[in-house]
Amino acid sequence: MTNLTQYLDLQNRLRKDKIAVKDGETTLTFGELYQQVNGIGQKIVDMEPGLFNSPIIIFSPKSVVAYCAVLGVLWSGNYYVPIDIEMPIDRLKLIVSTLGARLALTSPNGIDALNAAGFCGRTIVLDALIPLKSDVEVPTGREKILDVDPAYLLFTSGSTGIPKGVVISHRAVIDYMQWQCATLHFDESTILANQAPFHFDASMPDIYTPLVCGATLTLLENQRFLFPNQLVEFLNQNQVNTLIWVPSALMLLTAKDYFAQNTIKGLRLVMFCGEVMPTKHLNIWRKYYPDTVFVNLYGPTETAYACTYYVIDRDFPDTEPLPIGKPCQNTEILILNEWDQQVSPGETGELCVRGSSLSLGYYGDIVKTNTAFVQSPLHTKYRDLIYRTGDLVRQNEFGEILYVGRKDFQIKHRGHRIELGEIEAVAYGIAEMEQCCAVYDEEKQQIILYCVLSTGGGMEKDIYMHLKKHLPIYMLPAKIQCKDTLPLNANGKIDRLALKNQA
Amino acid sequence: MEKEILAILGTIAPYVEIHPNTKLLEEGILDSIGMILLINELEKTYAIAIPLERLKAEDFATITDIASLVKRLL
Repeated sequence: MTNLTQYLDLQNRLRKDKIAVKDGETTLTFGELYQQVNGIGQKIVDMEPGLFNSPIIIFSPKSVVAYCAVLGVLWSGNYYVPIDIEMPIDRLKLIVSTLGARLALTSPNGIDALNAAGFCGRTIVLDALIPLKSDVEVPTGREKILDVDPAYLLFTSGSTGIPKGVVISHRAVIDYMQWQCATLHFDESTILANQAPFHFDASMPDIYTPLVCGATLTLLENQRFLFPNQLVEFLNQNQVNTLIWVPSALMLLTAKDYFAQNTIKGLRLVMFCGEVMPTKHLNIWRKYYPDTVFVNLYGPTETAYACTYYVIDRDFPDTEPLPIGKPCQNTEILILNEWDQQVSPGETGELCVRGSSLSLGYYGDIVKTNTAFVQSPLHTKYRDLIYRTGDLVRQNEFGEILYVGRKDFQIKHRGHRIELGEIEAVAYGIAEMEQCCAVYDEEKQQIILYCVLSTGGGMEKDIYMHLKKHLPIYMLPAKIQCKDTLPLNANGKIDRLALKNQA
Repeated sequence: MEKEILAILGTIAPYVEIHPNTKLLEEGILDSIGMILLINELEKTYAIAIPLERLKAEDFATITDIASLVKRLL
């Protein structure tokens, strides 16, 4: 395969009448999905003839219609940019202007926000499945896609206050999907329940597993996670047997003893990625599901979902962290020390990734791209890029990779990747802000913002409202504390560690 | 009791104005993690056990609804 749309051809040929995707309202077979995606692809080409290899915004809550739109964009020969429909307007403005997209596929409730954000391209409104005229397929441009062309672009937190657009190629997705389906035995009997929203890279395997191996995908609305008791019932009604969720979502089901009341029947496989899974919670899952396979995966957005994995094959005490394991297929992991040499076994270094899973870079930002994606320091004979993740790791006695920490101030909170610097950059937009520092309290899983104000204090609520206008909910601090001064370290910089210890 | 519950919600969703009839779920003031924190706090404060198998949206829609749930369990 050289592009992802070919997998839909395959499923349309192999299992036209099998259910491909469903949400609370709509169910589509692979045959119907094929027609919908083809129809949306046509619509895009009719509206913007000649648009090829260009970004198209998807601005919609998660639904079967949005799923068709995602694939419809690929069908038209372009790449999709899913954006959170609840994105605060000022952040949306930044993204819209960075992107300069000519077309957006939006749900009816997104039109006003897009306009207010200064989007001046054309829009296709996603209000329902599209009526189908015929089975005749008109060429849309997808035949011209190369595997090195982009499939999607996701925005992730940027330390200077401007979100970074990570561009992922068809090849990167194909590489990951082929590995996943073969290694973890996915097939047409797999029934997935999608947790992550489409604007989050944790949803990538959910989106493509049906296309690659004929699995069925059930879309879960966010609301389902409010009441885990009802969620478990819903999973059973839909005969879900496979979960690819972030640890935060899995932990919602083990935060209280829901499984003592009711369990997920026939659960075969649980995969998790995106943040550290606390072993204590995994052990509760393993207790209730002794026959289920659990897989811990690791990977930044820049490497198409995951680049290492560990199938849990032994017991871990609650306090022992899980390994992130070994590289996925067609991927090499280098662990480099501060002199860019490979570390000796057991030594800590930065995890760097080689292979075709690497992102094509940050959209419109050649400087950041060239800092993160660099020539392998091991030789200079030919072009050989690695991605520097900024994650510190080491190998244990089994040769498995263990996550140690970060080189910088990036954190993982509720499955989301956040640059604390982005929160600070936004906070400095307040006129009275003299100094501020965001820290993360891992134990309580809270972001805390410490501030020094020219007014002395008493503006916590105003600061919160300002942040809320610019940042997604998951980036908002749980606490804002005004202080007279912030502690400084020996270099005269704000002492984050000291602040963290106060938290 | 409504006042006590308001104080609990204030620690879960700070800097947000909440009234007795604010729609906590509809307006997204209570999210999935907030729900867990709230249930834990209610159980601790009122020494009750909220039956997990019967959790439903109607009981958490507003502060008034939460208060009547607690009163039923006291």
